Amino acid sequence: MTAAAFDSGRLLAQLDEQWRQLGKSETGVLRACSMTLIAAAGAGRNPQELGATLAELMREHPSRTILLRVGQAGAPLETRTSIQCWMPFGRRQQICCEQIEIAAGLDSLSDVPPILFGLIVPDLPVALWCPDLDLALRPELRPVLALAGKVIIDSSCLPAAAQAWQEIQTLQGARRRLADLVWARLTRWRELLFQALSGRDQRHAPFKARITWAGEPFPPAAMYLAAWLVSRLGWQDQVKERVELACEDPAMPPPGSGRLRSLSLEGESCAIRLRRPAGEALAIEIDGVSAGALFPVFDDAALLREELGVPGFDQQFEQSLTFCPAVLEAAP
Amino acid sequence: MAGLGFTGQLTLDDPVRFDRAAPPAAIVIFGATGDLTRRKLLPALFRLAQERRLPATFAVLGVSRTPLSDDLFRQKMRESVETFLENSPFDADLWASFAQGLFYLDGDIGDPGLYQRLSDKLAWIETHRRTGGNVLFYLSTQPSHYGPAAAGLGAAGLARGPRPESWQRLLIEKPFGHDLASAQSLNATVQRHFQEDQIYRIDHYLGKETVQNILAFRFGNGIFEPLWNRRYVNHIQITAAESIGVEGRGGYYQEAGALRDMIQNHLLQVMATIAMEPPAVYEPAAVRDERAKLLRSIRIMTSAEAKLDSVAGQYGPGRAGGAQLAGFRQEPGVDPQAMTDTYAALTLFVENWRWAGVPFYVRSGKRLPKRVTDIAIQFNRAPLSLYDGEAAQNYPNLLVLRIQPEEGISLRFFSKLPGAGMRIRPVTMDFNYGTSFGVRTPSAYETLLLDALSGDATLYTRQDMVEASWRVVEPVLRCWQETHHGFPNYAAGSWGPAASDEMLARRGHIWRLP
Repeated sequence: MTAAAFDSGRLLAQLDEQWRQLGKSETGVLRACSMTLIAAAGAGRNPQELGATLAELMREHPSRTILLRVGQAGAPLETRTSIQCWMPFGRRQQICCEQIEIAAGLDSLSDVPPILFGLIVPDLPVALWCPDLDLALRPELRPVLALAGKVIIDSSCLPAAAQAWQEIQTLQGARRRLADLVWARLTRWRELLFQALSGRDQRHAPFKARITWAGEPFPPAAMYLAAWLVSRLGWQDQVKERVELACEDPAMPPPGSGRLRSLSLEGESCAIRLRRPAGEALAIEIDGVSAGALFPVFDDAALLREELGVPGFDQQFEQSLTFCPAVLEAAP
Repeated sequence: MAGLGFTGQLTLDDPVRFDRAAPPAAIVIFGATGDLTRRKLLPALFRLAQERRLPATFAVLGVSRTPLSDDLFRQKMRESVETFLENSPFDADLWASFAQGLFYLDGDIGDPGLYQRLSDKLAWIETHRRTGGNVLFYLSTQPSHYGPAAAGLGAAGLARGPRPESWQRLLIEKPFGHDLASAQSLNATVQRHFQEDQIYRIDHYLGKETVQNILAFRFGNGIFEPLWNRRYVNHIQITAAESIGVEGRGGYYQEAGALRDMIQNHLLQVMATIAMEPPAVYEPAAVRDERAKLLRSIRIMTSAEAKLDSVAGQYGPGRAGGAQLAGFRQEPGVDPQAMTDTYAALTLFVENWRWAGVPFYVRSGKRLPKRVTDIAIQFNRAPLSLYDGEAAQNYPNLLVLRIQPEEGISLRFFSKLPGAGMRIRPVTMDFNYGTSFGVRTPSAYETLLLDALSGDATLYTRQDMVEASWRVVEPVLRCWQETHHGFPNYAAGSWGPAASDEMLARRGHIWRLP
């Protein structure tokens, strides 16, 4: 089937009709949209899980969602429109967002961008979530990447930081913002460290850090965390001397559970240790005072919620990226 | 160095991603076994811990007369948090960690010995919890204890920190006096021991997310501010209605009344937020300066004006929802001859170039038909109506900022009725704050506690603001003292006394039904 047979006008007309039908309901609906969110996923992704993630997102980031599912070569080009609603607790009006699903084979992928162009909500931001990194790198989807103000990837699918770094460099574009869910997974670590160091001046600054992880080889998460410390603490010329990087358990943990195990900072009058052996708890030790904190494993929806909440330039991520090459040189 | 701020402090902050968090500190709560602590403060602190807004190096020290051990205090507070924590499940593991930072000290606020023991306990807490010598003293006691507590803290040297970089702050609950003279006297007592920038006078209305949203709405958008003046605004109505009666607070309430309890503080602050000029920057001093300036610009009524532009009411028995409701004088603990105002309405004018001549109608009452707080800005009618019909005359554009219970904003405008002919009908465009963001909004106490701990006084009232508010209501209080009110003058479950409608009718206006 060619793209012409699936022109965007027809899909939008279908959606209009669905809205009209919904509008006849007694409770009434609120049509909510703050962006176009394109989710491009490979055939290996569980469609139910993808759907649940997108449905979860609509509460905080109501959007026109375009789910692009890329199957094997020869898979037919198909489209489907739907409207997803949720009823806030204690309210009588449903809040609804529209979703367009496009299924395409690898060989018909180049037909997709023209359809997508017509489906973008005018005057609102466009974000592209590409959980499969290899899909993001396909040349057929380059026009879609160019369209998106923000491209969200998840480099945790690559075990090695070195390989992740190569692909990140390929994806970085002049006009778009690149975001990595691995960076969003670090927010909790960074935030706890910020709180632990809060109020200290230079005299009590740490001069050495140690980061440990599970599973060989050196993971993207440890690369980002080290690069952030180097960037924020002004250690750019002494990465090797200041940051110790070590694998503490060569066995690879289950996917999604996180590979970072500990972060320690030492200074003349500063001893901070964050340790997360496994599970959802984190032990904190600040200058001899111990405490615990919850450290839930965030799913894709929670991480995307955070990323979509950062609409513009993410200064600290961008700055950290510039120190990744130095960290990779220091890595075991 | 990249990680150093202007003060030479390490700044690993990432404001784009991190939720604002409190620095290491101890909170000392005077009145730790009281209702406010149990219902609001501890649940709010626990929520802050749950949302990672409190550091591991944090402590709460409860002070009250009842002798309790630390463990017993923790147990009581756990029961309170389990009972009063809203919108989220209780997490026992998190509590175990949070409770390690809870401590208790018994003593009498009037006893100088208490403050020496407090000083020792704080020193111990600082060593063992690494609170950095930072202390927030929270006076959640009877107002008569504010002065003695401030004096006790000052005399024990607790108003100053152990190190120059540590801070000490004093947080005071309302009411700040019961008239201008007592407010000035309280301010003088407290300021003998604490500098004004150490004093945080809490008005929980300002902590409400939607009151803060007024500022975002006004100063974050370019399209409304040009209309926000006497040229386009006909009048403004501010309503804070409660459906409940005094609910066991009869003794306190009959001394206060609606004017003192609601209008002098909460609603005048809301009015200031609605009517103030844009601050040059969003910084505490700049925002508070503008609020204070507005409060000082409210015309002080003469006694003749007070008679015309204020209405006092008190509810009598009535029926609502099929139930018989007692009148105020029949409520437990209330004097059967009480002359307390359970309803108050004022017509206020702001004497500046923006608002000259625009009436601000402010009302608050108990036992009204529903619980609602909102601000309605009614715009002038179109200069020439092209369309016939009653609707075009009776429904001028109206912008309503709803504060509770359904926080949001709605704009009323005209639309053509479908079909042939040119008939128009008012319709509303609604924005619902809670449903549009789908996330829990923090309680006012969460916001205000975090602000005080972070040293952000934007949402706190200042001495000059408190005194300016008292100056506005004092002529009304004097007038009402000299007037014989025919109380009760409205039935429970109604929208207040007829005199209130007459007050608006004199200027050709009517109260909205919110």
